[in-house]
Amino acid sequence: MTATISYSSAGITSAAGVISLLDEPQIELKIFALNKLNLIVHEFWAEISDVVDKIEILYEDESFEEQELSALVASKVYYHLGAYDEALHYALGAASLLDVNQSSEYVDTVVARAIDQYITQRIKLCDDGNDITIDSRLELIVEKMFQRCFDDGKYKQAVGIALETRRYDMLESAIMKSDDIPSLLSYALGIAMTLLQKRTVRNTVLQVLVRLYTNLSEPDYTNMCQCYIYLNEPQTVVNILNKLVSGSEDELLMVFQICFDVYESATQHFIDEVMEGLGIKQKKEEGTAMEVESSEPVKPSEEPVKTVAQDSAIDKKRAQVGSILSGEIPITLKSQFLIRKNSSDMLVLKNCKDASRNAVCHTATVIANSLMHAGTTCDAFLRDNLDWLAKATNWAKFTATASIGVIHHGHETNALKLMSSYLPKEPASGSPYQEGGALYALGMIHANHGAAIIPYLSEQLQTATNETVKHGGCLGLGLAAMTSKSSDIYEQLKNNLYQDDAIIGEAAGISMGLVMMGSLDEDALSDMVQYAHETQHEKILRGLSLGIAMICYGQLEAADPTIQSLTDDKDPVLRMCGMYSVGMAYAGTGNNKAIRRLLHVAVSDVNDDVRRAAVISIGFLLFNAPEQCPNVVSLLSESYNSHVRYGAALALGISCAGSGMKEALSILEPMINDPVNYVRQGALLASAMVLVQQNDHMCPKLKTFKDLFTKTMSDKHEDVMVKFGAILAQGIINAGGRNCTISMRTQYGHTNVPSVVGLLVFTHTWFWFPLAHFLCLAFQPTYLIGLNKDLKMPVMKFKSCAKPSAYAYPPLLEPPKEKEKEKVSTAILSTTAKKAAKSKTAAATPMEVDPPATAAAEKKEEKKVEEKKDEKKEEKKEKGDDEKKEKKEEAKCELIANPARVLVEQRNVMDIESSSRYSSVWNRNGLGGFIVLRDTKGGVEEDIIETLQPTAAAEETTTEEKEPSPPEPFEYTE
Amino acid sequence: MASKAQRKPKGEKPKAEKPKSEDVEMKEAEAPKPQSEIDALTIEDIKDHISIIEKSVVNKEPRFVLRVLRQLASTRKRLNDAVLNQLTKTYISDSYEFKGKLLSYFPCSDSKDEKPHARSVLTEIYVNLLGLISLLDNNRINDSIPCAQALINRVMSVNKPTMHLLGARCFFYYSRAFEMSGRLHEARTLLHGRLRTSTLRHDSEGQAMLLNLLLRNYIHYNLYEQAEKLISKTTFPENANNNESARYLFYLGKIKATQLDYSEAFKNLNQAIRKAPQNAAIGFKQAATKLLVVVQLLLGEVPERHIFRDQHLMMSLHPYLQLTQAVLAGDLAKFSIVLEKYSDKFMKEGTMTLINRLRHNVIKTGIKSVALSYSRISLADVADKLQLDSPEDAEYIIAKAIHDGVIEATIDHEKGYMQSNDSANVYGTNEPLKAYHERIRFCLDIHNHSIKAMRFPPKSYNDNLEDAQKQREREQQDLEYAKEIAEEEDDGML
Repeated sequence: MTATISYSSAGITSAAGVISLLDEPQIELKIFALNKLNLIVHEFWAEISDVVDKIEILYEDESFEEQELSALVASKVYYHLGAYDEALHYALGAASLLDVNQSSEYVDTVVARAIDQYITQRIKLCDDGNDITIDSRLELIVEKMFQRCFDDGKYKQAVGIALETRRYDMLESAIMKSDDIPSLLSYALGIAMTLLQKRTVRNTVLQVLVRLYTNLSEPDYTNMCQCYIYLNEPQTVVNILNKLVSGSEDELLMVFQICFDVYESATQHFIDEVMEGLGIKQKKEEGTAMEVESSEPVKPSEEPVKTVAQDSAIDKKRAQVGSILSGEIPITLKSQFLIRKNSSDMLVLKNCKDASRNAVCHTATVIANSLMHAGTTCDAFLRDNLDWLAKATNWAKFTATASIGVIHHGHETNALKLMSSYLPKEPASGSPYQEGGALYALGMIHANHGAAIIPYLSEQLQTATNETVKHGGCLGLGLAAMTSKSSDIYEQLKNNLYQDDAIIGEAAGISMGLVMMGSLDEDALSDMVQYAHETQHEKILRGLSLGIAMICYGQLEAADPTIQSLTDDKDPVLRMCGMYSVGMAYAGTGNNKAIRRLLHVAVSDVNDDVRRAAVISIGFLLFNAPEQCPNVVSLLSESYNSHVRYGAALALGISCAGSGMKEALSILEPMINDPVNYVRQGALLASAMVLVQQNDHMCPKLKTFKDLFTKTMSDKHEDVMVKFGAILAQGIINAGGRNCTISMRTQYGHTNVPSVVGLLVFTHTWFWFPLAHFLCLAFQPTYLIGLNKDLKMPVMKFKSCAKPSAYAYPPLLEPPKEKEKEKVSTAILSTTAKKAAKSKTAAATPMEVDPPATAAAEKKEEKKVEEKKDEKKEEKKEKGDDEKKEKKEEAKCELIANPARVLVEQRNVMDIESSSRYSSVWNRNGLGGFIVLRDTKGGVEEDIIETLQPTAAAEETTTEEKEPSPPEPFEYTE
Repeated sequence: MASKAQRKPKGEKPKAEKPKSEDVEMKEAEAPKPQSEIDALTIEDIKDHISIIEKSVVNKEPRFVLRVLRQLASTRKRLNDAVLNQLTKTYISDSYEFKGKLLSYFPCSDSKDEKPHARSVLTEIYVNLLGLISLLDNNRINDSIPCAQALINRVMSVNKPTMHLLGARCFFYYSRAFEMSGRLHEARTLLHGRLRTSTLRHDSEGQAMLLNLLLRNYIHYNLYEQAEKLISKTTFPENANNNESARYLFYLGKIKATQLDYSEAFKNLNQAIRKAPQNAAIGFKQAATKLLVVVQLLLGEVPERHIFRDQHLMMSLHPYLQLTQAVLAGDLAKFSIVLEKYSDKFMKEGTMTLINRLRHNVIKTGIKSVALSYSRISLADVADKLQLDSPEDAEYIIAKAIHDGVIEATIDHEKGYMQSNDSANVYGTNEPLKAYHERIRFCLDIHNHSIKAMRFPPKSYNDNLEDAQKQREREQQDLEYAKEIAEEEDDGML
């Protein structure tokens, strides 16, 4: 029979003949027809599709022997018809006839469809808990594809599909089968952290990954601990640390490294639990504790059962671990870094000062000063301008006093002594604004690390009678007890809230949120929401709304019911709170649903505040994917509604902070000329946030914007609001002595809680200027600090494989007349820059005591540079001809001394100098943050960089009388 | 847009000849310009095109390619062996296995040997396409087929959005090469495959082009049923460009007309003409109008007189005018004469089958006029008037006409006459409403289509906005100045 009908498909013009064979009663004829159709279906599918039902009947006919063939034909017909689901359905029926490894468009499409369907079904099954059975044939196809990936060595693809399909077994085998397990593990970790939005799924994946990490021949403890932080399993971290701490010296170094990482990534609550597990009670820094003037001394922690002898090695190690985890060492080191590297541009401040002619600008300058010197302890500007500072009255004085706290942020020793002249004293003599500000400042100094100061603050708050003092006390207490979830403090704050005083209530609301940050504590939520409904004061409402948003922080879908009820509220402030809650609950996730919700409100709500909050919250959602933000808000930035425009500007500033992103700036630039004053202000603030720590090399637009800030600031006709923004922008762009960036991510991709809080509360500067200080919480020093086994900074160098100018400081402002500073403008070499900066700051801050030992150490460092002869020569010549230097070819890489200023972008090109005696305990790509070093020349004595005294404290230790009196005696002009 | 004219089914012949004669004219008129100079200019232009294509690849913006393709028609006229030889040498990399073959197609003695620059695949494809077009224009059919195949293989290896427009054009010439060599059916399998691929890749340009090519392919072999099935099983991409949708509508009209769905065919053809470019594509418009006239006659309607007066259409539509007149008069004799006289032409234009169907319409029209004129007439008289063979024939035809609702009448078989009923008042029925509705819908359709066809440069709305902003700013500043002056004056007063 086959012989009679042996035409080729090319010769026929219609499939009708073959189709008619399907109606023949003889089975053989039907099979023949199907075979034929299978061959010609790609050309005659349109015709065959009319009879596809006949083919389907054949497929369903149990007695028909070639069911699979008919399924294949039907599948192909549906494929051509574009009905891919049906095509897949029949392709599954074709089972063995469908060769998934064949490369044809049909097979590719069907397989892709199969994977898609499998993914949706698996998600329904695993995530939503729906009870559905997945077609085993479908599973087979997907498994075949996995096999193919393994065969072809495409493990990354397999990992991706495994994560999408929630096939954790496949994830495991994909990673284990690959040749480079560690890199694949970190790839999977990266995906899990950035792309998986569901918390439960992410946790399961992390558990799998942790297991894999553990099973490695050399377990990767650092990454494991990162996972445990996500999983919120402090106990396991404790176990790891316990195991390692008694091990070899290398393992001890690893412990230190882990501790630093944990400290940088985890919440205070998590760290507390780890410490408890390790049996280390937080040792309140004796220095501070002793100085607390309060009657109730801090509970010294003698409870830990010390089974081993006091001075045993283990105990010493534990003490070291404790000092890292408690933040004692990291905070000291950070502040060391900031003090040492401070290179703020005093001239900018002077210009700000000269430009500010009214109270608002005055306040702005004070705030800008504090942001510029955040953490550097350099309060020279305040000291130099006492008369000018004295103009601050009332709340401006509150702000000014609090700004000292920002400047000394993280400098905890002597905090009380430092603030003593402003703090409330027994006979209530001082100005309440000053006292309140001082309490706020104390909180700021101890933000997120406040065990030492909480009792004092709490007592002060208790005894205070004035509402202003209470305002400061609440804020200070909230800051110090941030994320601690301490119920005592919460209760105390709640009592303050219930006094129904607008000023106290606002601060209490915010602080309650700070304390219960991210807990989604039901009692707290119901308390706050209920009170928000009762109160008459809008100020309290606003405070509570921030607080509620903070409580929802990081809760993802768990916060949805709360958010829903808030967004449905008829009170606009609560709706605004709902918007902030969305931003907080989904912070950094880029969750599409949340973005849609925000966008909807941003264009549909009747209240401007709500719309503004909705747009700002978009910034919080997208900070992990800043490149998306300009697209999302570009239309909003052209909205007719000025509040939406303002929100769009801030959203860009928040999400793209420190990135210098071109797209963001191109949206912000026209907004600086907006007809509405506050939009201009927002654009200025946002552009400063985007441009923080950029230089001309990284962002060519920098100069334009800087000029704009200066111009706006000194423009006579400019609105005062805009000037406020411009002055603040000057402060932000020079954050922390130009050594800080604004970022909500830690080095390992965790969200940095204080940063998020800082930015959130900072957005409320709109309502309440003193809250601008919160921004300093978002400042992250960009340091690279190498530490030896004694947790001291040894003298050593890091190598940066990039042109020195690529990451240098932007040039300082040129003073109009003086010429001697021109060398600064060409500071291409970091050492040069540093020196220049140092001499500059030294000139500007006469009180700074630079111990000669440090200088000597630095000289030693320089001598160590062997390979960089050019550089050395240049250093010698640096005073002389700058012209020549410019012409000279730039070095390909540079050496930076420990501790180093390493920008976020620069981390990837950092390495330890090859000739150095130190090596890192843990090899990772790029260096940043704290690095614990292994000493390769054990016996030889190390050069240790001496601790620099903080500028303010230095004055105390030297002769007190010599110094000008502290800036406390403001002349009030009330 | 000008490129359209040459690709239209009916306009090809005259167009293909035109460029040649122009070339001759040009040489006569501007003799001083040597050929090499003209070539150099051509190469310069094509270099510009290529830089646009490169830009499109770099920016991933397919729209730039469109600019190049629009000029294809004018480029095409200026191609010759020397130009193509040079282009091939310059722009096609040595790794492309077909390069040698291409060079052999375009021999040129004095071209410079240049090292090929590293270019994107798109550029190579463009140059290759120019080569193919030149081969087709010079009737070098045998060379064109392998060239087209090599081109298509190259196109198929690329999967980029920027490729879509250029790729679609390549398919067109591929199919054209096969058509000219009389092997059109051989192209069908590949076209089917590509249609699927472009559907999967969301390549609407390719989809539109390939669908049209397949329809053309089927219609060429009179496979109307296949074509109809293809249409019913696929959807024409909505965002296809105007020219492609015009062609699609034309084919659709043709298929519908053949399948007796005249009203649908009429609508499609009308839209096709409307979508066709206004000043170009005369061949296409001629073909479509001819078909439209016939379809309209088949519908029993009378084509507007102005259609036949159109300057471009007058000549070619002349036979159809006569046809219309015959049908209008219901004059069967005249109809037969016209048919006989122009049968060759009708055959060639593919309207013969449809025109044959018109005979019935002629008779119907005759009956209609008879029924209107006479309230009662004997069947023998009817047969005489319509030149039918016998009164029986007349009776059958009248019965059919009554059945079809053409006339309102009764037949008295015994006495052998036809009794016409009074025509009902049409305006009392829903008919006018329906017709009105139809027209309004048609107008709205046109409106929507033209709105959809509009394009705006991205972000252009910003320009005006900024101006407004600056203005506002200036005004504000003026206000402030005024205030300041006022203040100063106040100070002066104090």
